[in-house]
Amino acid sequence: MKILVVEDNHDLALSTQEFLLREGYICEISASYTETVEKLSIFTYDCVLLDIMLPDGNGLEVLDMMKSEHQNTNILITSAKNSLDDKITGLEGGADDYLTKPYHLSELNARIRTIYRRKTLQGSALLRFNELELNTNTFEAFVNGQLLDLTRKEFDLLLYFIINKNRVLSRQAIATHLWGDYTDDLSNFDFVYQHVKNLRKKISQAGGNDYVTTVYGMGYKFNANETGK
Amino acid sequence: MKLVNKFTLWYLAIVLACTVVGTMTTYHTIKYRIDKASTEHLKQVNRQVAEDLKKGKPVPAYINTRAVSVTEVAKAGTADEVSRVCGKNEGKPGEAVLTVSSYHTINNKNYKITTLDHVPSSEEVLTGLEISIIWKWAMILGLIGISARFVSRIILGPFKKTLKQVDRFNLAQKQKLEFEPTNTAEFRELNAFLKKMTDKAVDDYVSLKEFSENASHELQTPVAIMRGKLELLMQSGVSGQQAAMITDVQNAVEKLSRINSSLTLLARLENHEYHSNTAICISEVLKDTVEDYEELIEMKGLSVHIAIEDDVQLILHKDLLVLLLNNLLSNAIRHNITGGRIEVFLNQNQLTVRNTGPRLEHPSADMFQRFKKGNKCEQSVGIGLAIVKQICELHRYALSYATEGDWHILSVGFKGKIAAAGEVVSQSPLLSEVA
Repeated sequence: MKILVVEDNHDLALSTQEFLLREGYICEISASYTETVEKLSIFTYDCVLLDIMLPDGNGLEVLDMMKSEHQNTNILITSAKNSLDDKITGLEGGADDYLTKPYHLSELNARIRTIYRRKTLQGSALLRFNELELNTNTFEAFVNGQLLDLTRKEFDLLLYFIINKNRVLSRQAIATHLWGDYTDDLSNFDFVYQHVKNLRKKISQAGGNDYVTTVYGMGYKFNANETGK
Repeated sequence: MKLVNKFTLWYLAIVLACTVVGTMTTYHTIKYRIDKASTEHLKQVNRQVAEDLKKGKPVPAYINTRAVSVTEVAKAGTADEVSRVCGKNEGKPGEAVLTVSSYHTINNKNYKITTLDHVPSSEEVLTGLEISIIWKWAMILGLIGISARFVSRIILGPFKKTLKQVDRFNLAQKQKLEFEPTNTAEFRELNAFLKKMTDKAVDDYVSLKEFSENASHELQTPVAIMRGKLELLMQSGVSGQQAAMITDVQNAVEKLSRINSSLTLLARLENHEYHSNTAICISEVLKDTVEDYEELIEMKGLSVHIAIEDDVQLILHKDLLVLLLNNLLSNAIRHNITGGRIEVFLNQNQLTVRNTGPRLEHPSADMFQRFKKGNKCEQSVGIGLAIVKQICELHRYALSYATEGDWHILSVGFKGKIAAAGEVVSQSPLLSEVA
């Protein structure tokens, strides 16, 4: 998948690019409105991460341009300005999602994948990983075809793990993904611990491999190559 | 005391003083004038009697209804004698007798010619004045009374308008005051002064807000960079010790980001960015929220009891409602005890969240302040209830807190008031004014 990162902050653009490259995406950076318009008119991308505030223009104009040229690229707006108006204008203007800075890179990955699944792989709601199978429409998970009795949060967690496999996920990132940004106390990591524990137990009981390992002090990791025990 | 009444009283005092002095003057002047005129007239009569005597005409007893008497005296007086007798035995009541005697020498004989006349007595003059004074006072009182009500309304109109405008002035609306022009110098001065003051306040407020908004906005990018780099760092092989350090930094970054986004949210609430005209069913959203939290409640070993009336509608932005409910519920979960209980009640008038919990260490009013935490909760920033309060203030909901033994009760009254007794934390300013 080819991604264009539109971000005027060089440092942030670089970390995002490095992260996305490690995830196996092809990733390019654009730091200004003009550069973005130029790149978009020459190349085709699967996904554009669009910062709204650019030194020489507004990201929303890029959105308008893409819409008028009927480019069917997935657009994820990333903005530091968590303003409702922008969010609404952005989504109405044809963006697929809106992510407020500062975001977790693993969250970014999850969002990109969600958009990709929704738009590019139309209808295909099934996500398969070895013996695990997830239906993102019905929120059902199967181990070797056997239905797992997962709560919605546990399902989200499993999906998040699989999308971000082989990466250390901090408890904060997991908490934010599961409960959103707004609430004050939900970085309460005990709950993350409980959810991960329950999820691992349920998968093991159904005969699945335990891919999740605890990374000391930092969080959890879904190991795609080796099984836990 | 009203300004109008003060002025009226002063005017009345002045009028009273003037009336007293004026009446005295009038009284004396009138008396003097009457006496003088009568005296002159009687003198004239006397002279005519003398003429008649000279001519040897007989002297009538009355000339022009004035009694005349002529006596021969040994020695003539030098000047005319005037006497004024006020007596009840003489003449009619209310009249005084004025006697004028003149000496005339006619044919070497000295005559004293005395004529007398009845003039109005002092009492009569005073009585006359009294009536006029009473009329005058009645008119003055009546006119001042009426004019105080009506004229003051016209004259003090601009002042009252200014007062009303200042009363309604709200810094958060960032609306500058525009006063109506007036031709009263004092009011012009007052308006100019008030305008200068409020304009400055508005300007300061706007620049302060801009600063805090920009600050929190500008912070987002560096925080995003920190988060990103830490996540990348985590993926590289790190030792246990390094991992612990990374986690600490990550926690700090997380907190920074949370504080920042909460402050931005509060600023946006103050800016009225969340405006909604559509009614939303809280009953449904509340049920969903409780459901969302069920896992957490279970994990903490709490039990929950809900009584939610169906179809409770409110005009509120959906995001704000979710935020309000989330914050109230998570607060009830966080500040609970093991094996504690949570009760959620909703009816058409109010939402009540009750939870068991340890006693408060701080005054309950502190609870709704930013960054004041009841007990040291590491995970919380301490801004949740401040956001709840802000949302309530914005929508003129009454927010109250009460304790009952182990129970902490937070209520939100949608109609601006709370049914149960409790310490009202915020109430709509308009409603409190009416009460």
